[in-house]
Amino acid sequence: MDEKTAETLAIAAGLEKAWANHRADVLDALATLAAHKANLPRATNAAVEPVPAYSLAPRR
Amino acid sequence: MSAHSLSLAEASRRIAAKTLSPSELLDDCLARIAEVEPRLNACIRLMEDGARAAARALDNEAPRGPLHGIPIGVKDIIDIAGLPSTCHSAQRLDHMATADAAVITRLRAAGAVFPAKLATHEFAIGGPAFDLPFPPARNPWNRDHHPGGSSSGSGAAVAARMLPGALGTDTGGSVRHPASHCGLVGLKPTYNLVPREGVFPLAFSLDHVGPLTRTVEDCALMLGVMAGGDFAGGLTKGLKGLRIGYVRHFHEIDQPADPEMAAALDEAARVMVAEGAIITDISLPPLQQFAAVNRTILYGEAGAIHEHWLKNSPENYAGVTRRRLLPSQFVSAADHVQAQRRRGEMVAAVQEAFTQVDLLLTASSMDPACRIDDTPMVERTYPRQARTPFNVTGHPAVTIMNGLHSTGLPLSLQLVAPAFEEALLLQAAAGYERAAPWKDMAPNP
Repeated sequence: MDEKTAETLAIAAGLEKAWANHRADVLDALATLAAHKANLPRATNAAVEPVPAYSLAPRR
Repeated sequence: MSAHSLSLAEASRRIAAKTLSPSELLDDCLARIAEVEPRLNACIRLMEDGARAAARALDNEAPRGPLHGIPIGVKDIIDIAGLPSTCHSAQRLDHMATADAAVITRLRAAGAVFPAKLATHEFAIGGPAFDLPFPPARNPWNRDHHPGGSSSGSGAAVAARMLPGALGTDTGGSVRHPASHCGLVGLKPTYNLVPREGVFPLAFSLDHVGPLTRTVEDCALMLGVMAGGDFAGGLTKGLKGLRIGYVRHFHEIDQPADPEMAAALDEAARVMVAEGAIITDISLPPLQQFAAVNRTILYGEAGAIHEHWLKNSPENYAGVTRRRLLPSQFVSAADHVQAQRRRGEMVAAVQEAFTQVDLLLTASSMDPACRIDDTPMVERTYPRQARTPFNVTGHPAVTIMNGLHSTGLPLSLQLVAPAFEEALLLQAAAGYERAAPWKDMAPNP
């Protein structure tokens, strides 16, 4: 990702201070997230519902 | 044997028999802390006076139960009334807890005393770091090595015989990682079995509170108080007849393990068969998918928790914490929902496995502890583990010692059970612990 795009994203996220003082960390964060997005499985059925925050069998 | 070296269960038996008093046990633990803490940095804060006063009061009481007079260390993201909960962070140096966390209330009522708040990775995610108000905890087996985290001080303190037990928290493996690297028993209970009120969150739907101890019996005794119930009654039943699914692909294909770690897992499976267990191979979704789902959900939840600080005082985090938390400000709502969709399928996959077997056997860490100052190797530690899947699904999982690597550092394994089957999980862990010779091995920090 080029720096101009990264800056736009950082400012849109309200991270002006981090962008000004910790630019390398912001760039690292964007690269990290891109890697995770690539590994995140996506539902092929658009109607699949997400689970609530947690669901397991009831306590026995 | 010095009192500080006793297992929690043995100290408890001696207190019940009036051959050891809570004050004597505490004094010996405090002396041990004074001896080894300068080399290990396990403690953020000592509460000697308060703990001594509590122990003196307990000296004259009839035993309340197995934790009567037992010193327990507390990870410094868990509130104790009247004390700071710093989360090992400059962001929280002035935070003062006004009430005990729910788990502290339960432990205190059972007679536990609290001599120390313990080091953690900053906010249970950013560490080990050398640019924080407190230094990082060290591994008692080799002080140049990583103790695991984020419950790093809990692992170091219990392994070094400073304390017989400690509280940790586990969002992606943070109780089981120090257990793996420090040769301990570390339990992540079923989601919400142990209350989280008063524990600073990392990710609400992934966070768990769990004990770190030196033996499975000690773990069962702590869990009995933390969760309510009897988890120790079946520990002698052993492994005979238990069907155990061996998830080999985690450490053979998904994240190939250190050869000695892999060989030790195979040997553990052989020992379990010799003890009467029935081992079959079983498959789950790949570790990389579990990790991506865990991380995406964590970003969504931690992003809300840390948004204010990331925007307004990012300089108050350690660099590693800032780098680990900043992605949370860019994750999309759609990705969060996609992760929650896949999470449901992952819960179903693990539930399906438990229609075929009673328990799962997996790796915990893929490698022994790396050097604490080797940043690339420390970073490599976090994906090279098989703990995250059970934060995503919420099933109970315990890491126990599984021998020593040729470097002299502990090896480990993980057992996993159906939801709320901690008694069965600890029964199997105790059966393996008895059959293997690791329980009495101790570091010399």
